[in-house]
Amino acid sequence: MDYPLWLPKFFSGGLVIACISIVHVFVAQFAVGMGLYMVVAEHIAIKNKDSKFLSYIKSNSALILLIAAVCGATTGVGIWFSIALVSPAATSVLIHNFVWIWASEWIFFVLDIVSILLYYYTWGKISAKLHITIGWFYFVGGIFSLILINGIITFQLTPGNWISTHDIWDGYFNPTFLPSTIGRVGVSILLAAVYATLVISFVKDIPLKKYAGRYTGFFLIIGTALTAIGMICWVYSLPEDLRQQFIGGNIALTNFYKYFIILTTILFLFSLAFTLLFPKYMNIVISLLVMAIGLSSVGYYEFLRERVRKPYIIRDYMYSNGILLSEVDKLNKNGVLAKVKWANIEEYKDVERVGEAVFRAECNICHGLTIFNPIIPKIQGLSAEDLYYVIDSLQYNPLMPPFIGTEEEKSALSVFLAKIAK
Amino acid sequence: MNNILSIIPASSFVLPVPYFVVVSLLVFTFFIHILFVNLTLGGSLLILVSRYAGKYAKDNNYFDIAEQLGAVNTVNISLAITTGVAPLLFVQVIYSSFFYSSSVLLSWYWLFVVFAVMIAYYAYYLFKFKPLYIKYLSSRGSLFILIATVLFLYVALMLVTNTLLSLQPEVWKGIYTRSDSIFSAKTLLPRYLHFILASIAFTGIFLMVYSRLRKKLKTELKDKMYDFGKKAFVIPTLAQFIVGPWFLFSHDGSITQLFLGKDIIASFFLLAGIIVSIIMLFLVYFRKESILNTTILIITLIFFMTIVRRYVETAFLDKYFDPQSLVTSSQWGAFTLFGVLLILLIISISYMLLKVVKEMK
Repeated sequence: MDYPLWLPKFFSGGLVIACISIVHVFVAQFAVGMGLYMVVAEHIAIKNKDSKFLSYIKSNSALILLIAAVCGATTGVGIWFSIALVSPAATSVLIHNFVWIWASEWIFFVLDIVSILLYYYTWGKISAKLHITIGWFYFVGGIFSLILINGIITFQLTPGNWISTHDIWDGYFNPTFLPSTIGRVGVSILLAAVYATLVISFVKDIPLKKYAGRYTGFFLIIGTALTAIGMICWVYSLPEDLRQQFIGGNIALTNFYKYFIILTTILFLFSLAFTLLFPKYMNIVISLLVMAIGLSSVGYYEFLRERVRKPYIIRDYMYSNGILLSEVDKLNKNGVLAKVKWANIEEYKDVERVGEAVFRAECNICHGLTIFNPIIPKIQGLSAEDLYYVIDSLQYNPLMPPFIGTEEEKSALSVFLAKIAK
Repeated sequence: MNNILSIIPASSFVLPVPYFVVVSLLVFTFFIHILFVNLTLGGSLLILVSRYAGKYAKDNNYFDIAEQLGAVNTVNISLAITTGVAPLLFVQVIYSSFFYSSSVLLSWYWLFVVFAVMIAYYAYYLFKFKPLYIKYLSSRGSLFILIATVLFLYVALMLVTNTLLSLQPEVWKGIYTRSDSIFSAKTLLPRYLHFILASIAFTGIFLMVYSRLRKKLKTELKDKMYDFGKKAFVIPTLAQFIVGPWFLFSHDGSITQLFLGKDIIASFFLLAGIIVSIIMLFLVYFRKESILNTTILIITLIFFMTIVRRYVETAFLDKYFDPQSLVTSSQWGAFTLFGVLLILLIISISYMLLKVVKEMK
């Protein structure tokens, strides 16, 4: 990691990425699913000459225009901004290996945005046939951008044969790509139903409310089923040691996994009750509750996926702190600060300052001092000698990278940690 | 010099296609992006001007111009964001070492760009749809455009700052250790002004064209819009004859010289750009302008200036980085996928637009 380091004092870079991405995933996946929801609904409405249902669909498309095309698009760019700030080295690897995948994803993003603008602003102004065609273009844009980007996200967790071949397609079609894509398409359809409850809750006309509710219920069932299939396949396509982490091996991860399953089940049953079964009782409070559960469920899954990858940012290739596995031996000999020059840009010589620089170079990206996975509570009261052995034994912790650097750097780090542990 | 070179992150990556392919894509997609950026920023400023003009001249036509611009700009903002992703991608392919470093120096200021765009976009929608009681206000919600304009000016400032910082590693250390301000990069102010004036001038031309294309508007409004657009083009373009040279001569002599004959191609594009702008001013002055000739000329002008911009940036980094020296291992298969999709995209969008225009007639 020879880039300048972004280490905000009162916040963590990782948390910034998490906040932006969870919102993005919650919005963007809805936008994908809603494409299908909308176009199929429009087909049905036109066939049945149901003008009320048609105006209901128009409201749904306004949701895409106002939420997905604004918040979804900007947070998508925001993920990119934030990963480049926190992990420039890893971002560079992803960009340079998958630039044509990103570029192709951009093509579908353009198609997605242009067609939703056209779709929304031509309601009632063009023939139904053309309008539905534009709707299909929108859906194609959305779903393919999801599929393309998902290959890169899953690559980080399971790079597969890429590690030895460095071939783009080995990395893209990696072991978790397919199950994860099925799961995300499922979540998209599920989220379309979740957001639709917002529109349903404002519908006054009872027959329409029932009709739209039932229609939404079918999406809930299909979406949840696909999510479950994708999730199960995803779990079993992971390497054994990874899977063990969240089915008991690590408490935090096991809880993430458990909460994700519980919340998704609650989400499914609760929203099913107010769409397929008793749609006329759907109101804004229930809808907001459904939204909140949906957001938490998505959040738990994304956290699980991120945390299970630890201590890597690209598994078996690069650690979370941006150090490549291939350069560990070299850095153990020459010192980590020989590479991470920005950590000690002032070139301090005294032990404590050097230790602080090593902390910045290796630990700070995941550990704040007092907040977000904070270091101080973990080491409170320990002496420099104790800490030296703690650092030494990091290699036995499956979720932590080993200490990388010279003996002098290791003792400097323990001196610095002992100082802040007081 | 060695001190600076040693802190620049190594460009130890492999290019996924030859350098010139990436640069061509970077220039081309940036060119498309900047068209919509101009409309977004220039349009926001012009909405404020037309609101003020309407009040000052007690002429409701100007208020209508503001409403029209507000409505189209919601689409332009979307396209500015969407088309911005591609140059953001391609710039990282060649300049990741420089661009990520400068982004980290700006950190929160840079990250806030994303939120500024989001807030500004929502402000625009409030102005456009005027929900709740906004439609009864005498200001018609133009406060939201004021907010959006301030935010877009901020975004433009950050983009210019980040670009310049990425080109000037000599100021990195001072900013990183907080002994210097983030605005320490050279040529910042004239560059920023040059871009803002250009965005207003471009939107001026856009208004002229738009007023002629929209058949449904009242004749009086169309004429007012046309004249307003004309002024919005002429005044900033005249100002460029002061800001432009200031900008040019604010560079180090070695860079300035490139455009004064030392590099034939760079000098050609700058000179050609200036000549095109003079031709446009004359056309407008002698009332010989038409939708067709102004559109072609302004787009040509922007394209030329995009190339000039590329030359400036390459010249800045010349002493630190030789992109030609990067190792290339081409992924032609994946590149072909992208190329085919790009063609399909152009076909799909043209198909939809043509069909929609045909049916709406």
